[in-house]
Amino acid sequence: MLSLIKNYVNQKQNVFWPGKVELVKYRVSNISPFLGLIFITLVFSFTTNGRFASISNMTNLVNQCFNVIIIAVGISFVFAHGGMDMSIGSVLGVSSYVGAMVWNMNNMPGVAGFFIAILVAMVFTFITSTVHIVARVPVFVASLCIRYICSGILTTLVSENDMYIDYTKYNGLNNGILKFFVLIIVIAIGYILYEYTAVGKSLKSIGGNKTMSYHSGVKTSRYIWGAYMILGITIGIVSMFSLARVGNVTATTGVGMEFDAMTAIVLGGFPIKGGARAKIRSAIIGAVTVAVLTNGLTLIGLDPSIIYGIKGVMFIVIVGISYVRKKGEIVN
Amino acid sequence: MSNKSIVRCENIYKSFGPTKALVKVDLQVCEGEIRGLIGENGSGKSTLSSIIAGVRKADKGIMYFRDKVYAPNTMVEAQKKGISMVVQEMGTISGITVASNIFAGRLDIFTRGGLFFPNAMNKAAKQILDEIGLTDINPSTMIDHLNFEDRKIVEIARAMQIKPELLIIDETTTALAAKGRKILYNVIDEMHKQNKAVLFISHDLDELKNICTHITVLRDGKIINTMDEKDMNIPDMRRYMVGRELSDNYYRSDYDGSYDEKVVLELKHITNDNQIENFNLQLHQGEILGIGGLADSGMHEVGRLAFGIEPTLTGEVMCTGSHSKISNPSDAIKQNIGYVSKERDKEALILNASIIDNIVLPSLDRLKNKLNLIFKKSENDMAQHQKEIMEIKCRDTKQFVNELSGGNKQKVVFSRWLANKSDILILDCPTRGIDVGVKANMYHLMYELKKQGKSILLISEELQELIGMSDRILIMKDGNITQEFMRSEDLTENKIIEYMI
Repeated sequence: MLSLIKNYVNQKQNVFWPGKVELVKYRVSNISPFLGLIFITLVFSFTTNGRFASISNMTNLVNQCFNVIIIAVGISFVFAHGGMDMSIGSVLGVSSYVGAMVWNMNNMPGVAGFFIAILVAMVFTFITSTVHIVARVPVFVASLCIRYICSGILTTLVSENDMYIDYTKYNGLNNGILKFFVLIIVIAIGYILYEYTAVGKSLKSIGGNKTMSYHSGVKTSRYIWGAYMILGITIGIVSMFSLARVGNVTATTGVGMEFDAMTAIVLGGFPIKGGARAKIRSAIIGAVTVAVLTNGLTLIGLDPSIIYGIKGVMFIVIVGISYVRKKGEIVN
Repeated sequence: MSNKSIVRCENIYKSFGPTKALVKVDLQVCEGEIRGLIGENGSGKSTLSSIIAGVRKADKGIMYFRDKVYAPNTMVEAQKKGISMVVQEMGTISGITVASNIFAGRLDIFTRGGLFFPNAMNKAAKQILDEIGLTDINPSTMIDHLNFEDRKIVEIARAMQIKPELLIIDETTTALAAKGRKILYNVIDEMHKQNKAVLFISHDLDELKNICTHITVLRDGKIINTMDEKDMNIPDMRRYMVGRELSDNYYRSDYDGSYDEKVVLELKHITNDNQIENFNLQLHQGEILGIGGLADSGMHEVGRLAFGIEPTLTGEVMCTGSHSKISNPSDAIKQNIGYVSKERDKEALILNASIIDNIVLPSLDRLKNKLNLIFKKSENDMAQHQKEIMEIKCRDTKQFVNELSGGNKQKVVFSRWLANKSDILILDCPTRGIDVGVKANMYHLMYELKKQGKSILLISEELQELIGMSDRILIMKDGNITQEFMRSEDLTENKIIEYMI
């Protein structure tokens, strides 16, 4: 019996056990984005005399975070394997434009606009990923080129006139409840794909170690392509909903969307290089946080120009808390 | 010979969280000594050497350097005293030249009046490289153009340029082939002659026995024994390291080199864009086929070709049972082939991921349910099962792999293929950098697999291992097979070596 215990203790000694402090730190950093979100929600609920939690503001909030959440779901797959995409905003602009053209045709059903917008977005993300995979151009550069190409296309298209749609015809798409359900569906599909299928698992493993993944039978190129296709679909969806909300397409449609998505991801504690610690829920929590912050600060009645500054400071604080700065080291 | 001490440690304690890495360690290194430090992975060797080199601080205890109290805060302070270290992992800085690497942190020597003179540095670097015997490297080349081995030697040059009194070498030889080892041994010999000291950490017991004057054995953070030249012998070293009598069948004990006639994997007329030309190989069912040779003999390439990692120009890799061609790892895995890479941390593991993630990756198809979904429970079960049968020492299967010791990491790599029920295993240096305890486990496992009718392609730089384990050994040189040996009791390293060089 004694030898059994001894043996057990011996075994334990050879194993690296993180100290209590590290473990607590790790757990805190794991849930801190979530706590942060709850915290600011509570703060705004009290400081705005309940206006924040009102039904009308909730509909507003759904509208505000809708775009970013859906893009964040798509881009999670891209960031999970260590990729990125700088062209989201301009691709969104072009696909909105094409979708609007379809909607303005008399004999086309509204759904067709959706499909074609998604298709257009997928074509561009396909080009980005193909250039990256086949020609081995860093994806940052490849997507930057697509960004310029798309904004060039869009500027040319709207140089004469901005594109308008019949606002009343598609107003139904602005329904808060409809959008809420679309969100739930997109999140659910994204979540299952990401956490419960080979797609998400393989992409995370590529982010962790591409060579190892390839040696383990993961078809790396195929999955990377897939990730950009998923991103394309989400861009397409967002392009049409935002078109229905705004009613027109101009040269600035979609501008900066990629940065909003990236901010959301970082804020949620999603490791920017992907890998095993990349969780899709981080991306979603981050997107909601951004929306809540913007919404709440506006409700308080702050000047929009000050809001930018406050947001910046709060991001630094939240990110500073949530990222584990130094991991425990092991030596033998 | 004088016996003045260079470094003396007394009562050193060091813990990482609840892990006691070092407990009451006393160590003295005297002039002219070459002290080997051995122990299983996790026994505290690297911790001790890093404390002496100033990388880490002890929790408790005093160190003396030439009888004066010595408490370095950084590696640079230790270097100023005359203690330098060559580390286990890659320690060169990429993106700069060889000379800049050698003099990293000391560029001020070549600065006059605020101006830096690279020529002076290159000249000085050349001199150091010549001294240690690496004459074919131009100090102004970028470090990244050098291969792994040469970079390691540059690190040795860097350690030597401060003219150290004590040189610490931490498991460097695993990365070195014949040429590098020779250089390293020369350096050690030179230190010995100049009455300076070397602290040498290695898993290669033969090597230690040959070059060390003294050996200190660590186990679980304690010093177990110290041996000097006259009572150094390998069985004792092993025994002290592991703490129990290792059974005689460290390798397999039978000399029945039989295997099934059935060919399971065949390389046919393979030529690649490197040195492999019209290469043929047949692996039979239930066979352990060893491939030996020097590091650049092409044997590692054969493993990569067989698994479909490297493209072939002509010829094909056939899985004979199912008549299917293998042209990428995914094909190979479908035919139940597994591959253990020589570069464990770089190619065989996701360090920043859990044991579960590492084990289940090739088996994802196996874990799918009818709806193509993979549930955490099935992943956990698979990993837990492997953890138990392979006896992986870990907190739980959610622990990240980078926190495990070398031997346990390798167990995770093996588990991955066992979990996927591989019938053919291609093992490229499977016991590299692994302590004897785990090594014995691995050999036992390989033998078990053979008996179950699985086939193993064992590529190794250790001839003892090949002789001890293989049914058949192929020796390679310059991309060709130069000789074939069948399993036999009187096969010796000497008989083999002549076909390698």
